[in-house]
Amino acid sequence: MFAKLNHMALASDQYALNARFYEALFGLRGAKNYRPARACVVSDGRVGMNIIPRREGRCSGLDHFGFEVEDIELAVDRMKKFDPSLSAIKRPPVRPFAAYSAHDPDCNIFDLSQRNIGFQKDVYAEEIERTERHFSHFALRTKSAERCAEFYSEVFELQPLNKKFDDDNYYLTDGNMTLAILQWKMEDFADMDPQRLGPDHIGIRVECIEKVMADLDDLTGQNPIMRARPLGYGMEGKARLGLFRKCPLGEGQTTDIEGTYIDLTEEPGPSGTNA
Amino acid sequence: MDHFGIQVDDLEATLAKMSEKYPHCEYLKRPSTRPFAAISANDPDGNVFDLTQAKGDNIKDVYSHNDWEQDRTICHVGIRTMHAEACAEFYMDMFGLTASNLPIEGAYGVTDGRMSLLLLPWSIKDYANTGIVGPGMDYIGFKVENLEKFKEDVQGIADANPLIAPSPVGSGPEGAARLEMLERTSLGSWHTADPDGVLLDIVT
Repeated sequence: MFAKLNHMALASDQYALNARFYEALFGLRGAKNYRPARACVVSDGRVGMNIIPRREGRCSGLDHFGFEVEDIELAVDRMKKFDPSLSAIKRPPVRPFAAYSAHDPDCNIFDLSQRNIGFQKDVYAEEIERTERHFSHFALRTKSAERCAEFYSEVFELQPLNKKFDDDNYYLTDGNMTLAILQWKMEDFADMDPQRLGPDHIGIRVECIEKVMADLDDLTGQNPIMRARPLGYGMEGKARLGLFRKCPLGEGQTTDIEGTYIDLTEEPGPSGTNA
Repeated sequence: MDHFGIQVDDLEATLAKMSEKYPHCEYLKRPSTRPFAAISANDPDGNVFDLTQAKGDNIKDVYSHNDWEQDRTICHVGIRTMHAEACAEFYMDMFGLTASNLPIEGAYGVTDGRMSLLLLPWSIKDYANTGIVGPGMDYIGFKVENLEKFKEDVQGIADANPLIAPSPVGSGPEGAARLEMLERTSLGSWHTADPDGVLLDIVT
């Protein structure tokens, strides 16, 4: 594939604790040569997730994602061809992953890196064995879902997956990860606070959802800080959970310690395998 | 920061006009538990705002007794958005807000006479040396009676209770770049943040 979705980032006030949560519950691995003053980075062996300290002026939660591409110049050229108003900027060198950051037609932000470009750090530079529980999808909820799907398909050559005829979302794959582009509609938020456009949830493929939930219960028993946020409480909680459950890529739902939505699936990946 | 709200004289007429002139701007009725909002809606760029009618039945909390005066007041909110000009036209046309001159390149100010929306053009290029924040509400503006007195009070609060001290602003090269961007695209002569990191633009 021309591009791989191999990076995700979330901003957190409890970034170090949250990283430990992902390590403890899902068996994700941290970098051997980590940089303690910056973000905590965990990986499933193919996709890295940077849990970054939330700075002033920022919200906590899912922040952006990133692609590793064969040729950054070609990717940026394709972006400009798709829509000349789209921009990409070079990033400060402290970033372990990104050479550039850019945005899609709805201003969803993503990083760009080039395969074997040489400056990757942390989990992006290390060989890590694939973990049994690993990332399956990254979901955006956005206003121009169809146009964004065209953008990611044309620029990054992601392949569309089949969907139900009445499903107005789009699912694109790089062969490993699926980018779910969910249609943002004001009417979906009738019984809760409207959520702004942007990243919505991450998906993790597991061997058994029931086992994950039992592990979570055990984890919270061992360490009460390592707990998921309650889902589905009250009228608004039920509405939020109902919307979350509409993503057809997951069959079980939970959160990390700061409330980031995690969609769990036992289904095989786009290549038909669980590995 | 999440959203803001506008009070109108006639909610029904407002919604009818919005449906007719801006069919891509959707709205929906809110649960009755909201102390302010009767309706939530979005502008042409997807920025979410609440709508309520003056003297509506659902107005509760501070919205039902907001008739006092004080020296320090909220005076504006900065919103970074992709199509600032189109959004400014929307708010002027829909809510009768008037244009106000702004000394910020590419920005559009609209005001109800007391409170202003500063619609700032969002560009990824503004974030070259700092973490990128997507479009949306960016900062709150406060008008204070005396900046030095205000700064003294902020320090006094931080000294008395560090848990409600401002979150640091401008630390390190990325923080400095973020602060430079805030200074360049706001009206205030001093910038700080609340304990949770929400940016504040202080004007006198």
